[in-house]
Amino acid sequence: MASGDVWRCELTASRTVLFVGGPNAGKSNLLIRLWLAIRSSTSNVISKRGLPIDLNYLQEGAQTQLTGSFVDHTSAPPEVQPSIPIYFKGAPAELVMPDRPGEDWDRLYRDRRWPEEWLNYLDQSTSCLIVMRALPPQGQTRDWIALQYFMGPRANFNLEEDRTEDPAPLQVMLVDWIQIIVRLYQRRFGSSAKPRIGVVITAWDEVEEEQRELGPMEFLKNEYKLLHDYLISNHASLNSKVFAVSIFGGDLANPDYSKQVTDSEDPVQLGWVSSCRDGSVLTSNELLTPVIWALEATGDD
Amino acid sequence: MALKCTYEGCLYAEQQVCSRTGNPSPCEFVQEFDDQPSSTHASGEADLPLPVEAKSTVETGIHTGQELGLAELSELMDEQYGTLITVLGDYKAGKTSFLVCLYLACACGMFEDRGWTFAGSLTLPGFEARARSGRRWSAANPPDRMTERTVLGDDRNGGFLHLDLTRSSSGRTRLLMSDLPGEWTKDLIGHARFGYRFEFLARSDAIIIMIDGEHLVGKLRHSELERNRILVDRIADILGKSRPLLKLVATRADKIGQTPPKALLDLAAYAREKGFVSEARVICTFSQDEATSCGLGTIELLESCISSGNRPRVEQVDTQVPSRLFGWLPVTCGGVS
Repeated sequence: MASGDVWRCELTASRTVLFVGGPNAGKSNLLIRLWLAIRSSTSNVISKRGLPIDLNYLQEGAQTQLTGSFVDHTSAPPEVQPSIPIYFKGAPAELVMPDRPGEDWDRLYRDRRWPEEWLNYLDQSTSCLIVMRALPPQGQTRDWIALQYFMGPRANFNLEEDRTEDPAPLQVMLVDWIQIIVRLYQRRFGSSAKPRIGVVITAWDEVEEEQRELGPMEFLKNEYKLLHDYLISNHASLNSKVFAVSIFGGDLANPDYSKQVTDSEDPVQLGWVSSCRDGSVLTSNELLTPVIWALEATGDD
Repeated sequence: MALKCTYEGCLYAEQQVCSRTGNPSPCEFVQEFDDQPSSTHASGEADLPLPVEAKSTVETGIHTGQELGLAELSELMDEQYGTLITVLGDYKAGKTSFLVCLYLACACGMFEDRGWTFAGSLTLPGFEARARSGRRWSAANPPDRMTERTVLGDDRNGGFLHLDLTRSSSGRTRLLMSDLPGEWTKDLIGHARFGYRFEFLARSDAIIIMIDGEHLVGKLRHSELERNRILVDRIADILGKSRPLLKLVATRADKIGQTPPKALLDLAAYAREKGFVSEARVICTFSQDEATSCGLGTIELLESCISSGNRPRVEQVDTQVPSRLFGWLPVTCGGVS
């Protein structure tokens, strides 16, 4: 028996963290960056345990990022399920992080159909990470009520715009996806099932520093109120936590910053993640924080 | 190729709406038929139904999103008491605008000052589809119609929209709000036989009659008052002895001002004579005048519909009516087990 087979004979818990998010949310880059973080992790919470059997997707992505570029959406395969052997709190485990193009999640909102094979990933220990870009380049969808509320009554009479063809607002789709996932869990595992669903805000470096200092929950409250209010109103039916991430601390699409990254001692030490706890904002460079939270069976949220 | 659904009672082939889910997309029970006469079947055998090509996605009981389907309405009402609000009114009276305005206001936190927080909705795509046409601005020509009907074919069925709100003082409030075609009100005024569509009224916690405020002032006011007296009569006949709260609401406060017009007050008095606890209100959902706020009076109207006590559930009644009438049947029966 080869040594790889010996590892497979051990009892390892397979834990799935499902990535959910629309096009350009940053799911693929986040996934690759988390792989790099596992590779270099020295923590005793998550660390590597040998190599995945199928490394093609992860290795290709890692090479792209380590040479100072983001993984390009168009070159991503249609669907991947990287399976990474890890130690989680000392116990051997297999971390599976399925990903698929953001268009598939858009289709879920429109057509109300779940990709069939993804039901296989849904067991009681599966967690989800909803990935969303902090400031989508196309801006946020507006309406008369919100405009009046935030900018005053005149705001609706000073514009010439037609946004009737805009897609549904991002936060509407996010809440819709979360509700779909919660109901699927309850249907499969009983009405008291409480899935663990984290929200990961990406490209946090694009947000102004004053806003970043207030933390991700305050950011959601100001910019994505519907999502914020849904999360705080539904503690009874889901375990949720909000994280904000910058995977390399800046924009790799900016040639100057890209050069900074490739010139650095170790790009894998770059980047940061913020979350809120007991009213305080905690920031660290432990990018695995959202995954660690997702893998926790119990514990403080 | 035509599609025909094998789920009992479903009329997908005729109406392009799935009776299980309320979705325009067919579910897995649908099959394809060759609806062209075949010249190769010399034996005269009928064509066998062809199975639909296996799809890579499944419909797994995901809620419809556009309006509440039968199963979702039942589930929501079983989970928690749902405050049922029926909104009646003619075409363009402002029924859908009221619902969309409430939704958009909750979404941006406009009612937070009054303690209301958005807590969920299984009809977010439905609200969004109705709100779409309101996302346009023109300083010279403000749009006079801010909402759109959802696309469910020409023979549009009514349905319910869902909104959960929390308030620190009172916990979670579940709102189930009807969005009916304006023609239903017109048909009911014209002929009592259309009363069958409104059998769920007895389960309503509140009934709102929405009237275009501009029709309540000027030369149209007498005929509008008479139309709505008839509507009140029809509603009273359908309800029998039951008397939910009745709100008589004039829209377009941006055009007519905030004081209830005399015709509306007369209507409210008429409704009280018929035994209703009724009141007259004026609201503005989407204002064309910057001096009048969008959403004026809407949250107050909603709050007045949420009673402090729950209505007693109507006894369940067996019926042969097919269960594809999203929402009407279980609501008529006071909930489906």
